[in-house]
Amino acid sequence: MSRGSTRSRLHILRHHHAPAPVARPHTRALADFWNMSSEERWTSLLAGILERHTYHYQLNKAYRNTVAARGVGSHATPDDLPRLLRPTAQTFKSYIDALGTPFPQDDPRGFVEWLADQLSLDVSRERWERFRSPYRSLEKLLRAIEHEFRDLGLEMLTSSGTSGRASIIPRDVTSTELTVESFYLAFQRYFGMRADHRAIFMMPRHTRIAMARMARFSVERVGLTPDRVHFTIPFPAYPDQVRIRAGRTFRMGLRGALERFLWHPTMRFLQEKLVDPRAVEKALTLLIPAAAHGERVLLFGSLTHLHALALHLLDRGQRMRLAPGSLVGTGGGMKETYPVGPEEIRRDLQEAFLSTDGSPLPVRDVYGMAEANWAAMQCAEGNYHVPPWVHVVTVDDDGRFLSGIRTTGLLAFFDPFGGGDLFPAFFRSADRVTLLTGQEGSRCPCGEAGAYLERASIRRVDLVGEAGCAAQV
Amino acid sequence: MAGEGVRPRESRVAAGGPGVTAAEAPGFWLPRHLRDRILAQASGWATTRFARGRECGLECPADEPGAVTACWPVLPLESWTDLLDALAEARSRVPQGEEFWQRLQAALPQAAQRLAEAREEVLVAEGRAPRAERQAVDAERQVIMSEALPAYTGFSEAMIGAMLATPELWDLRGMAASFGYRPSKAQAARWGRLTDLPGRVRFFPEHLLDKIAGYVPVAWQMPLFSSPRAPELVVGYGAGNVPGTALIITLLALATTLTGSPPPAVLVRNSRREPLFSPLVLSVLEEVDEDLVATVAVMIWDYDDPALQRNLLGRADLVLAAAGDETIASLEKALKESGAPPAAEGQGAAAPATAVPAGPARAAAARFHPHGHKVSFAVVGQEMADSLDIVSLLTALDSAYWDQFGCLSARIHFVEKADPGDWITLDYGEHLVSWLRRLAQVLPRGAWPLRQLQDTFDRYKALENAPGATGAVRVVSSYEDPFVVVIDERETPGSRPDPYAFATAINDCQGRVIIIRPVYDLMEVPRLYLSLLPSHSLQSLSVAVGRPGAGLTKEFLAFATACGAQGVTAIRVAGRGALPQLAYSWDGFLPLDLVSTRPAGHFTTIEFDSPYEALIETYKAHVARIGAHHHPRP
Repeated sequence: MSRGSTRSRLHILRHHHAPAPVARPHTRALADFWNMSSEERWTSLLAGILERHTYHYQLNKAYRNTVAARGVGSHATPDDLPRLLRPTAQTFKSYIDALGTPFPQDDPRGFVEWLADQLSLDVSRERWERFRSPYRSLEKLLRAIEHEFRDLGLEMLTSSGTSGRASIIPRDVTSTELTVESFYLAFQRYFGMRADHRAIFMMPRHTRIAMARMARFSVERVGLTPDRVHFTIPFPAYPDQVRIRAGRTFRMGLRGALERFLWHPTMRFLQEKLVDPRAVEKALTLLIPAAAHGERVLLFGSLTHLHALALHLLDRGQRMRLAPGSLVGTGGGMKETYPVGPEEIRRDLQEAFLSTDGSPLPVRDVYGMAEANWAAMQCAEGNYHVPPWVHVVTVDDDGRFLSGIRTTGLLAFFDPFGGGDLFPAFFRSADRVTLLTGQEGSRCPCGEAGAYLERASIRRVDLVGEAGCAAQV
Repeated sequence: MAGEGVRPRESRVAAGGPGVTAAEAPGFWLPRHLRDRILAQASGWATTRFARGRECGLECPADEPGAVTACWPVLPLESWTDLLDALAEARSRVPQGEEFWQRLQAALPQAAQRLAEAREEVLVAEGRAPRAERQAVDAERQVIMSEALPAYTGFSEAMIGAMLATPELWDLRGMAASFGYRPSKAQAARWGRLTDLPGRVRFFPEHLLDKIAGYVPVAWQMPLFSSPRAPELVVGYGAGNVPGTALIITLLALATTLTGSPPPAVLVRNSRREPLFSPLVLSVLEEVDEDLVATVAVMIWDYDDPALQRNLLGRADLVLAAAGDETIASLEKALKESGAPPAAEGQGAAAPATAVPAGPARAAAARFHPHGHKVSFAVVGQEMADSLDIVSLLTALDSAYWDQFGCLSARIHFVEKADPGDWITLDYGEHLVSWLRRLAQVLPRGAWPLRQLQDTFDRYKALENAPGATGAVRVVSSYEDPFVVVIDERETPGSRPDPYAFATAINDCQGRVIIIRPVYDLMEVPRLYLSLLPSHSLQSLSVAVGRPGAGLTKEFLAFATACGAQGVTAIRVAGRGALPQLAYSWDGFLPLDLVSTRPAGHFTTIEFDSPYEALIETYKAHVARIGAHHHPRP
C-alpha cells in the first residue's frame, strides 16, 4: 500500500487565484482512500462533492448556468447529484457552438472569453482583450494562451480529436499535480511500476493529448529519471496536425482544399511509410538492450502502434523476452478502419512479448478521458479499477442513476478530491459500461477492493445510431 | 442480432408464421394462397429482438426486459424464384384497373378501422372466420398493436394509434386522378394543376436543355412523360425509421393497375428495425378483401447476398427504395450488377419506356426510385401573428408525429418577423411550448433517451448564456419538458446564416427538438437557408401562410418556385406535414413516374388551393381527433 507522501497530501482548495468564497473543507490525501471503510469513503466523497458544487457554483459561470437551468441552486443535496453531471462530449467542445466554428484560432478573443466562462477563476477582461488577431493555427493560439496565463501555470490539453473537433481542456498547476498524483498512484498500485522501470512510449513526446501527456508525467513522478523515459514517435503531434491527419474536418476555402487534397494524403502517406516504421525501429533499439540487461520495461502505446511492433517481430519469427515485472500498457481507442480487433491485437502482443520465463507479458489497458484527472487501470483479470477517491455511477437513458451492485449504463463520475479547482470534475461520459461496486460479493477476482468496470464492457455510444435512421445533413 | 434456426409456433394471424404474444410477432407477410407452400420450403427462421426501439445485444442488453422478437423465414434461393413466379401467376386471377382500386379504396379504411378498434377491444365482427377464431385473431392483433409495436419500435402506443385513426393516411381517392395527369414540357416553366386535385404541380428539370424547353413554344405540345406502361414486378425496400414504409411502397406499386393492367407482383423487403406494422395491416386487408393482396409479399432477406439480390433485382421492372443513403447506393450498385443498369429517374438521364419481357429475366433497365435521407421544415408567415394558437398546434404536430424520426417531420421552424421589434418569434415559441406540453399527454414521446433532450437543452442553455450573448438564443422550454424549443436569432434576418451552425441546428432537431429561426421575408428561407443544403436532402415544407380568401397568390407561388428550385418536393399546409398524400409528389416522384419515364428532375407539388382555409380545416380536423380519441391520461 502506498501512502501519500508530503507532496501528495493535497489540499483540495489550494486555490491561489481568487479568494475562496466558501468555507475551506477538509484536506485529504488521495492514497488515504484505499484505507477507508466504504461508509467512511462515501461520507467523505459526498461531503466533498457537495462542497465542490457550492464552490464552483459561485465561481464558474458555465457550470452555474447549466445546473441552475436544471433547477439546482448553490447548495445541492444528494438528490441533486444526477443534475450536477455535465456531458464530456459537450462541455469542453461547446466553444464550437459559441464561436460558430471549430477553429478557435479564427476568433481568439471569443475563445478566451469562452474559456474564462469555463473556469472557476476571475479572469479580468483585459486579459482576453489582448487576443484580437487571428492565429495561424490552433497550436499557436494555445501557446499564446499558455503564455498569457503563465502565472496560473495554465496548460491547454485536448482530447484525441479524431473527429477533428477536439475538446480543449485547461489545467493549472494544481490540477496537473493532482492528475499526475492520481496516475502515479494507479500506475504503482495496479501496474506495479517502480523507479527501476524503463518506460518506452510509442507516442510523440510533444503532444497536447491529455492522456498521453499525463501518462508521461506520471511515470516521471514514479521516479524514473529522464534517461529512462523514451518516446518512439520522432515528430510532434499538434492539434492541427491531428485534425488534418484524421481527415474529417478541414478549413474552408483554399486552405481547406490544400488540407484536404495535399496535406491529408501526404500526412497519411508519411505516417504509414515513415513515422510508423521509424517508431517501430526506435522501439526495437530501446527494447533490445533493455532485454539484454534484464531491465523491467513498461511499453506503452495505442493498440495499433503496439500491434505494428508486434507484427514486425512475429513476421520475422522473433520474440521479445523482457525481465519479469515488465508489462505492455495500452491506451486510447481504436481506429474504425483498422482491420484487426482489440482481442486479436492483444493475442498478437502476448505472443510477441514474453517474460524471460517464457510466459506471455501482461497486457494491460488504461481507460481514461481527457476531462478526467484519473484513469482506470486494467488488472490481471481484465477489469478496470477506478481509484477510490472517485465516485463512479452509471446512468440510464433518462439521466437517472442506476442502482445495484452490477449495472450497465453510461459511466459518470464525481472527482471532488482529485479534480482540481479549475472546474467541477462532475461528468457523464459517452461510454456505456458495466460497473460493479465491488461490494456484497462483487469484489474483483484479482482481490482489489472497490468499484471496477467489467472487462470488455466499455463501449462508445453513438447517439445518432441510438435514435434510429433520421437524416443528418 | 438476427438469429436463425428458431421455428416459431404456428399462429392464426398475419403471415401464418409465428404465434403472437407480446414478445413474439411475425416480421413478414405472405398471401394466403402461397403461405403454406413457401413456408414449407423455409430452411429455418431468423429472429431479431428489440426493446424500446433498441436492438437487443447491440443497442441495449441482450436480456433487456420487455423485448419483442420478430421472426421471418429463411428461404433458399430457389424458393425466391418460386415465390416470384407464384406472385406473377396470381396477377391473372385478381381484379384490375379501376375495379381493383375501388375495392382497395373501400377496403383500406375498413382495415384501418378494424385495427384501431382492435386496440380497444376484441371485436366480434362479421367475416369469414368463425366467431371464436376471429376473437382470437383480433386478440392477437390487439397484442401487436398495443404491446409489440410500441415495444419493438419505441414509439408510444398512442402515437401508433393516432396514425391509424387518421383517415387522411388511408385516403387513396386522388390516385386515379393523379394517374390521369398528362403534362407537357411547359410544366417546367409554370405551375399547373394536377388534373382536378387541389393545389399545383411544377416540374424542375435537372438539365439545362430541359429547363429551356419549358419556355419554347414548340415544346409546349410535347408530352413530358413517355406512354404509360405498367410494371409486372415491383421490388421495394422499406425503411424502418417510422412504421409502415413497406405498406406505402406496396400501395404505390399496386396503384400502377390504374393504367388498366393487372396489379404487379410486389415483393417488398421489410425493415428489421420495424417489421411488424405492414404485415399486420396486410393481414387485415386480406381478411377484408383477399384478392387485393394476392400478388404481394413482404419479406426480409439479406442485402449482402449478391446472388439473391441479383435474382430479385434482375426480374424487377421497377425498384422503389426508401432507405438510408448508403443502402440506396448499394442498391444502385446491385441493380447495375443485376444485368441491366438502373434508370434512376430524377437522378440521371431519362430511360426509354421499357418493354418488359414475360420471362423470368428482365432485358431492359429497371426504373429506380430512390427515397434516401431527407429533411423537412415548417414556415410561418407574419400574417399568422393573430392566429398563433391555431398555427402552433399544427406545426407542433408536424414535429411531434413520429418524434422527428420521419423525413417528413418539420425540424427548424422559420417564422417571418415584421421588423426587429416584432415579438412574434417569442409569442410563437411560447404557444408552441404550450401545445407541445399538451401533446405530450395525448401523443407521448417514444422511448428515446431523455438525456438526448437534456443534452440539447444544456447546449442551447450554454449558448443562451455564452459570452457576448445578447439574448439571441433563448430556450423556451424547461429542463423537465419531453421536448426542447429554442429561439435562435443569432443571425440577423436577411444576413447569410453560418452553414455550420445551420447544419448543426438541423441535426439537433430530432426527438422533439424545435429550433425557431426568424426571417424578415419568406423568400429568405429558400435563398439563404435551403440553398445551404444539398437539394437531394430536402423534402417538404409545411406552411402556415395566407389570408382568408386569398388563395394561391403570386407571391406564394414565387416562394414555392424558389423552394422547388432548391429541391423541396412537397408543400403542405401546416398540420399535414406527417400526413402525405400518395397522389402528390413523394421526393419528386409523381404516381405517373411509376409507369412512365421523363427527363431527369423532380416534381414539386402544392397540396392545397387556399392555404388559409386549408389551415383552418386541418386545425378543426386535428382538434376533433385529439378531443375524440386522445383524452389526456390522468
